[in-house]
Amino acid sequence: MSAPARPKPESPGARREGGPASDPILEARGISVRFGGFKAVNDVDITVERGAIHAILGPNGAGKTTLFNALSGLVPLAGGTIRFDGRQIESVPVSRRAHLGFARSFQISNLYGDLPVRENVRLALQAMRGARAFDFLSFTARQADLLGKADRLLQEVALAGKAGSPAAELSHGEQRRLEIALALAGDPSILFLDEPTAGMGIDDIAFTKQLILDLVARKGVSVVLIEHNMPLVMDISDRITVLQQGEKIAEGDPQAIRADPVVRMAYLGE
Amino acid sequence: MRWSFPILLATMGALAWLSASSSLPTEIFIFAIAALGFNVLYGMTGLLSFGQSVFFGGAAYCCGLLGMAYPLGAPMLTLAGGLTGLLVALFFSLISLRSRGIYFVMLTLALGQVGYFLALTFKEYTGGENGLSGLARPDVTVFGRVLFELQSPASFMGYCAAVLILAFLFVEMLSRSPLGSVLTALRLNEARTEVLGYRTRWFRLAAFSISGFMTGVAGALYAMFLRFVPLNTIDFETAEKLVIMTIIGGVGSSLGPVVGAALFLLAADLLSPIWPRWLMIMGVLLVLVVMVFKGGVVDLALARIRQRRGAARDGALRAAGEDAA
Repeated sequence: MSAPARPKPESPGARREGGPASDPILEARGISVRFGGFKAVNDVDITVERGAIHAILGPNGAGKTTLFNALSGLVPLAGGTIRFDGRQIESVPVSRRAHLGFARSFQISNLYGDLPVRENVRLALQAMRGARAFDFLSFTARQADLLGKADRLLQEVALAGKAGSPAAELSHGEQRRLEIALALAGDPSILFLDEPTAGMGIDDIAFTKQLILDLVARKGVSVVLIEHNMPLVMDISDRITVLQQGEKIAEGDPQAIRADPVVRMAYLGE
Repeated sequence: MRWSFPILLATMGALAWLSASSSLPTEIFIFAIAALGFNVLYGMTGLLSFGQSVFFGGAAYCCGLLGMAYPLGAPMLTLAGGLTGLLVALFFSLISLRSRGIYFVMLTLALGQVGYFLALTFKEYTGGENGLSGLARPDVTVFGRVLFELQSPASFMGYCAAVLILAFLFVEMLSRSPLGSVLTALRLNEARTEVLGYRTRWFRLAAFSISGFMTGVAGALYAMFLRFVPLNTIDFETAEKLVIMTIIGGVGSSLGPVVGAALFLLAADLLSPIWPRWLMIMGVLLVLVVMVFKGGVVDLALARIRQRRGAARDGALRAAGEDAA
């Protein structure tokens, strides 16, 4: 599946203008998720602009990951609608969403630990080829195109040297990067990254930040991000949504969020 | 494994050559095919099915009834058995589509029991407890002309050996194919596989179909082998036997199920006349495999070879490194 052509965002400054002439890639309205009687996410609206980096902030237990799961289709909605690229998708199953241009990484690395790094990526690439994955009369080792693509992706996330090692043997930072490579394999138009730099060392954080910025600049990918590294969030985000106890308490650009008294009370603890 | 096919041929050759009659190797070959089919579900896809007896027995009955009604050649009947197994397996997979883990295992067990009682109930067709008797074993025919007769025990053993070789090569191919890679992914991390964009239920269906076809082929061969279909081809013990054989032999390779079938049936043949409780030995072996050497007998043997080779390679590397320095 090839991604539709997207206009390249002009510059981060221009994207920050947002304003009324907006071009949302994802519009979620009234998203609610319940676990039994517990309202994990309650009536949250979120609009992600095309080519923007949109961060979701909030204290632990605020419902950030649940909102992520709801938007990417891993948990059923108790209410709400999701419009993606002009299409209602709230009832589209997870596996179909991948083909529409959704991709996500997981907070806790969710890889095929026993399989080599290259095979992890090859599987992700193969998923995009639909029915050809049912082929049982050819060899995966001869899929030169997929293997070549896999190696290029691994180069992009600086894992080319580890292509042959089992994913479980990678360091934590490397596993986070492999997560991103798997998400990129589907050539997504929207990328959900759940704490991509959690537990990373300084160098890895800088690398990941650059990787995210490159994706947005070069491929026009829209990124939705959960991240606890505050300087990073304030640095790269175009827009920030703040959750508390499953509800949206603030939304705006980084300056506005930094200045927002409600956010300072709830989250920054000041 | 590069050596697995030669090892298979050597094992089969040794079995055929060393045993006094052809019937024991024939039985081993037939159960090896069924165990390979079971392992597509279990070892590859991670679905533990206790319902294989219905694919096996259902195909055996179907083959028997078809053979009595129509003058079909052995390959046609074998294929018909495979298709029967495939259809029953499709039914199983549709019913168990949403169940996971222990619920899935219990469901296959229950469906297995349903199959058994259906066979017991429809006596007019299956002969009930007396089994389905009076079958003739057809030859390999093309348009009614006999190409290869199967009436002698040795020639039928050859036929089963040929089918086993095909089944083995098929599984080896499957495990290296795109489909096999998805089934493996399903076993290792189903949720991740779904998120990557695979419609996992269709792949489960595919795994079931393949497993059902192979097990059904084995069931048809069994009916032709015995010229009779006893009720116990469809009872729980058959399903259990396939599980035990495969786990003892090893679920991680295509050789495992074959070696497991050979070990189990050899033990049954050699020990049961001496000691009626010989199954206890299999029980102990099973416990050992589950607790100590998890990869089964084949993996245990291969690990030793690999270790030795790895040591040799490390030595060579070290020597090369010293040369460079």
